[in-house]
Amino acid sequence: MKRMTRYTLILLCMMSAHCAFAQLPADLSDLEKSGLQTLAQNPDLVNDAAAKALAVIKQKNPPVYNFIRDLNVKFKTFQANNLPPGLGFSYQYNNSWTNNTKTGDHIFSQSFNLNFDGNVAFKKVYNPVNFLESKFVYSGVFIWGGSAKKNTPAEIIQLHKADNALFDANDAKNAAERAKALDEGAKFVTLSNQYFAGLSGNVAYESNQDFSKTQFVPGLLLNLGIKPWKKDGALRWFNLPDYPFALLRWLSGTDANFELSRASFPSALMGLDYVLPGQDSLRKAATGALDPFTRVRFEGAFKTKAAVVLDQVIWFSADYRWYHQLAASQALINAHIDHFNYFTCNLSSSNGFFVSYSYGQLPFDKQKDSVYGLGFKYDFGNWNK
Amino acid sequence: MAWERTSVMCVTLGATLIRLDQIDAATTFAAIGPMKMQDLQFYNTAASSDINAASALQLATTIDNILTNSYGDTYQAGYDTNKAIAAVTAVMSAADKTVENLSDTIVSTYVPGP
Repeated sequence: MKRMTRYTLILLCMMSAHCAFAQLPADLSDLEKSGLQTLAQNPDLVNDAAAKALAVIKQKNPPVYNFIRDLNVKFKTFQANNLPPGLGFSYQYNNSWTNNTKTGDHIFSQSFNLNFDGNVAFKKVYNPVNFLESKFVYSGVFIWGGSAKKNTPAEIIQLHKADNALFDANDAKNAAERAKALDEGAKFVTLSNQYFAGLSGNVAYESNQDFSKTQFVPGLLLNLGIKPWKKDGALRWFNLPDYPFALLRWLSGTDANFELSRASFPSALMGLDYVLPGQDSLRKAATGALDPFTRVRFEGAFKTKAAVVLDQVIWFSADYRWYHQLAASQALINAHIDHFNYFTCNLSSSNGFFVSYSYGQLPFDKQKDSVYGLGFKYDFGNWNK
Repeated sequence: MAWERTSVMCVTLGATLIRLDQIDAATTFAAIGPMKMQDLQFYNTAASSDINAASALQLATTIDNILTNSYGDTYQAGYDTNKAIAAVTAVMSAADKTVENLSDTIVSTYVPGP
């Protein structure tokens, strides 16, 4: 208990490190100020301490640990424009209840989801992504295809042999044997192309981090996806964003041939939201009122393997979001709050290294920002000590 | 339960994830177990939860198809297609869950085929 209390106190001290670049108490020594500034600019250190604290909580109180772990809190540094770096954290919580009905080669899935998602800077002026979202979603999804051929018992035995040969080859770093095992296994796992169409109704509560701007957002969402699983099928050639990465994989020797990924086909969603603004001083200043409005939105996402370097896979992830208010007044157009664009992309490896770039403005952001990021991620749900 | 080379379901899951381009083909068996969902191809940390939930469901459906048809697996008592896909989707929707966590769910959901 004493150890847990100590870790919690250390964590709280670190969380208050935002004062290192806000208003430092006058009676702090230079050493103390320097220490606080170091903490504020090193989210890894905070994540590490938080991981240790959670490891203790895991032993003492598993339900509390599970909730904190599922909240996916990550400490990170924010930096926008010419402002100094600021410490903060992001959180993401998802929970869902699902019912799936399978008929032939298609599935109808119904689900109820609860999501919390946001970024909080300890000093809000440093937050370039000042947007919190709490959402309840009902969705009905149709999935066609993705069916696998049914194997005979003899074929299943051959498939298991191919699996073991694959991992033997990987242990021996034998590329020729690996290719042979993959070809052998592919004979017994043949899939058809898969198509996905989902329609969902959601109720969201959006705000900035101090809740000075809030809005209630019911909406409809159409979600589309394709997976060209069929080997040598023509559909994979329509994976247009993957062309430069297929070339990079080929030139870097990651892939033996110029080959487009079957798994990385982009996903998209289109939404129609009816927004009931709660508090939004910018909107109120522009129009003199906080009338409900209808908004359309679009999101496109893409993730693919860029290369393998020193046995580490480097993934490229990108996401574009667009929000547009229908029939916006001239006052809103002049104030540039009738539409928002936001693009973010990153290169990341499984050892935690990442480089990221974001540009644009989400609802509630005051201005368009270019934000670069470079660092290591550490998830404190997996501290094993 | 654990991520072990002697477990048929673990080997099946590792090979299936490689075949579905979720993991680099040269990855060793031992390295696959600790990988998180966000380290797999389907999980895009830059995207919204709507996109990731859809991707998880899509992949869980494909994995169910491969396990039951290609490998001849059946469902454990108390499970059917609905519950199996829901259980697998729930693990895959969480960025921090590992492939070992996923294999634990698969082992408690499916019975290995011949």
